[in-house]
Amino acid sequence: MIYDFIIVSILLLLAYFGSYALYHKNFINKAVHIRLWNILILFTFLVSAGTGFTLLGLVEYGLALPVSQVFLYWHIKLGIAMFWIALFHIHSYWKSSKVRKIPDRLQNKEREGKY
Amino acid sequence: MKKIYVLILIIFLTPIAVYAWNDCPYSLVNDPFPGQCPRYEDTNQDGVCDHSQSPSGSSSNNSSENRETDRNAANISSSDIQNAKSVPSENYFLVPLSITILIIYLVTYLFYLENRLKRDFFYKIWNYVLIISFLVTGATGLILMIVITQGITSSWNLTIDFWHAEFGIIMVVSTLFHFHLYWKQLKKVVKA
Repeated sequence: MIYDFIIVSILLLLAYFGSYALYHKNFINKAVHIRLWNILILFTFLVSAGTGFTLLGLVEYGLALPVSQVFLYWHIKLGIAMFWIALFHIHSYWKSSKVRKIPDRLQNKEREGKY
Repeated sequence: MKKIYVLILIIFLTPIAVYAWNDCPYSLVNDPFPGQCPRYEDTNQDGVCDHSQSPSGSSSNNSSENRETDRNAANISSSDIQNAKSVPSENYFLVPLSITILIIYLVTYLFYLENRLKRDFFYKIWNYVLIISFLVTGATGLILMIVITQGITSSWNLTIDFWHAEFGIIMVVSTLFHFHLYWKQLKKVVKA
């Protein structure tokens, strides 16, 4: 099986820099840019982690199913995609996570589930 | 009704029974060099992973050889079977590790709810756990992919595979905590 590591990586990098350039030049909102990559990371995570966890469970309990091979293929393929998209995700939120401070008053409300 | 249950059970168990001769955890059949996973092993040098071959398949492959080779092949295939049976089932501590991380998370969450832990610090702890586990899982995954596609066999392969799985478990569980921490933002992402 071929996992097309280089092709997948180049395509994702081009797509990210394309969407980042569109956002930077005000063609799209920051929210749209962020949401697009959040949806992609969610999807790749669900498939990659879901198949990974299923495989792990099967291996741990000594079970081998015919679908395991398909699961392994998609686990790796979407794992490669998730690796890059997770780096884009860290890049998107790195600055905001450093700056964002919530006042104590709102923190208390959040604890109580009101905020 | 019982019949339906039995039928469902048969349908579910049949694939397991069919592949029982094969100890490949991914159900690969006649997986050629360099193989699809770090367990690739080729004791009879036929360019096919031993774990993906049936005992009969490995002996039939060697049946075209002369009698001496046949005897050797028979020895090899029987040793293969022994190897296959003696392969220890991998223990990745899936349940204990997940539960341990969950307990740690709940303890820190409790501290946060009781004002003993600052929000920023609580969030930062779990964000760093996620980042570190992601980096280790990603790096080991990339190493494994390179090692497998290039056919590099070393004693480190299974060790890397083990740590890839362990940090993968931590990453998945801490991602679920990440969803919990950023639930409102996540709902906005999913909503159109």
